[in-house]
Amino acid sequence: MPAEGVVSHSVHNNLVRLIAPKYLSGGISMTFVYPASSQTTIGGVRRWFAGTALTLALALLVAAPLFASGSAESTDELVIYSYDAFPQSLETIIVEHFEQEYGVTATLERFQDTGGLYNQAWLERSDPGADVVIGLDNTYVGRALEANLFQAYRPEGADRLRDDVVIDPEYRLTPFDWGHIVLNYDSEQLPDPPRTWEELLDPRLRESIILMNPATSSPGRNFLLLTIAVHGEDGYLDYWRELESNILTVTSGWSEGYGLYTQGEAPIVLSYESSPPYHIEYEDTDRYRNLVIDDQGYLQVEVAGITNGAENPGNARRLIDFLMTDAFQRELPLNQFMYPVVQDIGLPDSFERVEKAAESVFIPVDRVDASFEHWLDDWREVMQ
Amino acid sequence: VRTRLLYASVLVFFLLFFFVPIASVYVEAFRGTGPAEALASVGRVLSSSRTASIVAFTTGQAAVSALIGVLVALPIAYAVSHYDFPGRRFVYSLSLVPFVLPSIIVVVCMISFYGKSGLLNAVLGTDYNLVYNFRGIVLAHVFYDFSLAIRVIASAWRSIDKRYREAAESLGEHPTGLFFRVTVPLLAPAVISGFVLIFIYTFLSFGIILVFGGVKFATLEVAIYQEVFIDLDLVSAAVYSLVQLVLSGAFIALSTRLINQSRVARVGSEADLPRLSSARPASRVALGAYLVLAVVFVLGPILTMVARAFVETGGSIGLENFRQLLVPGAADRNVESILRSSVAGVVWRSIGIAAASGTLTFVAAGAQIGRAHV
Repeated sequence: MPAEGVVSHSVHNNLVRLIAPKYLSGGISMTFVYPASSQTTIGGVRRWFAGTALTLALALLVAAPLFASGSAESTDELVIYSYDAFPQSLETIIVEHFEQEYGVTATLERFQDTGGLYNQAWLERSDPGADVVIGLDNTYVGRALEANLFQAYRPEGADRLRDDVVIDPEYRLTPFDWGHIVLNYDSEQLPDPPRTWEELLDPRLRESIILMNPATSSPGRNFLLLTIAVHGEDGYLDYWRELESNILTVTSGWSEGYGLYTQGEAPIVLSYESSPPYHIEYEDTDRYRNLVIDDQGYLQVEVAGITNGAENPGNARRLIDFLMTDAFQRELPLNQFMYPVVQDIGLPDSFERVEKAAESVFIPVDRVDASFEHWLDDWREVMQ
Repeated sequence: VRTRLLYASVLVFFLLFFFVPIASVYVEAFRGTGPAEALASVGRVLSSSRTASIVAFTTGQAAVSALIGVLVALPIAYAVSHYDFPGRRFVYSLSLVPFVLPSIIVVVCMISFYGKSGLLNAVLGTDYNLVYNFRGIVLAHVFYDFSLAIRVIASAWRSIDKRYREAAESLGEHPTGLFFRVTVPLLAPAVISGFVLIFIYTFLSFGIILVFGGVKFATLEVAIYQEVFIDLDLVSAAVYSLVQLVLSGAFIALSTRLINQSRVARVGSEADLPRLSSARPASRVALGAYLVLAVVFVLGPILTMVARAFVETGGSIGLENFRQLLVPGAADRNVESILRSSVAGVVWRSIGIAAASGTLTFVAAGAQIGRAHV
């Protein structure tokens, strides 16, 4: 499941991260500073990479005349940023692929959730620490393109992509998985679930729904967009006003909200169409099911992009290419619990067994970028 | 020389770990703006209705939590300062809870005990919503922090000089008068410092508000986090943190004044305490029942949370959840994160205890000075 972090002690780490690059790495110049522990001093890690990169650059500069034909792009490193929930198994697949195919050391750094990841990329926009950012979703694409954070690269295999997931035709951000944002329900607590937007307002569902804050969570953002797409810019606030009494709580992240749901705090939760297959696959129960209201799900697309100013652009392109391959795509359902973006890759049985949204709802990213702030502000006003 | 060295090291500590990072955030917030422009944007944030409502909520919830917290702590403080009974030391040590439980664990405790699917609702066969609202925030705060007041109040109560009571009694004061005219004035400073301790802790509350506050409630601390990490509005964050710094400073200063004015007179009388069983039946039963309730109030949620760790998906009891922590792939990160957070936890809790006792010493020193002037 992508994109969402629990509220945790990583808050403190992120503060360090925010301050560290500017206030720790300035001043003293160190060519080789080995981090005492890679997790405790992020600044140290970055210094170490910077130091290594600098030495390499110097070596290349000196050696360049000797190997006039050598490409300046074939460095032996690749730095990737993602969010906390990026699966360890997919990280391993990427790292091993780069090690075995190219002898390149790929490193993945995690930054809380999608929002934290975007903010990190934005804060470092003039001097990016990452070559590739994996895991922004469609709700951030408009902003990221507007801020000019990524460079265009149309990967090999782009022809095989599903049409509806290519949200940036210039491929500054390339889709690597997709899913539907829908409600889920616990069939043991709620044998007779609502089926329409109208039925969702039924007073029998008082304090029965757990949602996520669109300001902090990507399912939350996508669900807000779904209500706007369905009820219109003029109608969504009225719908939320009526829905409010049926909401138990609005959590800041998906993990907390989903955790409350599986604890049994409420029978309905905002989640992914691919959450029930998780329980079928790993817990052997179909108790948790999709609640596809009026057959609609909001299309969530996760993207990857090469940063503007990436230090290892060659390896970055190799990674975007690799994300499109069958070898990577077929791992997505059971590791990331999202759908492959490449056509004709079969889904596991557990995915075939659950109810799915017949209609993909989607608001174009440039329209989201233009209006999201005031949609969100108006929503906050209603909910506060 | 030793005290000077101590002061110097404290100063260096605060400089390195407190003022430098804070200053750097302010510098970052106002980078590239002129002084006039910076002042204007500060003014805009300060005068916004959002700021007003955040400050009002932060102060209000802290006041309510501290008031209820002190009321809950008073009878316990009375019991442990007047009687000896089995488990007295245990009750006394409840005041360590705020220092050893991380707030996110408090959240889990609250949900597993008071949640809609929690133990309490299960026992009663109901599904009351006790946690996801203002009530829940106050409940969690009282659970988390009320015991801060026990130690302060109990030690003051215990050291009220018997001679004052005896003198008043020999002058013909009846028990009610004795309580209101002798005990209350002598105890007031400790009650106030208990209140202030809880107030300051809950004023700075973060994790509990983040989970139970939903979109409705934010303390200054949560608002700062949201501005920095979600809205990337460093100016608002800087202003909120200044407001928070000024207010909490003001509350501490105010409380010191209050305590100074109330003229503490304490003489340490460490007389052996009578056993609770020797008290009058009515007070024995009332106090005993209250103590049992208080222990359930604190231990119930903690034990429920611990018990839940052994409940597997599907409802059977076992160690599966712990095994999950160690599945290949997750194991490295989990073990590392446990190690990291225990080290960090120990360090931060020690600093917390030091800082808290520092605050207490500070308040007590103020009281000393006040006394010296009498």
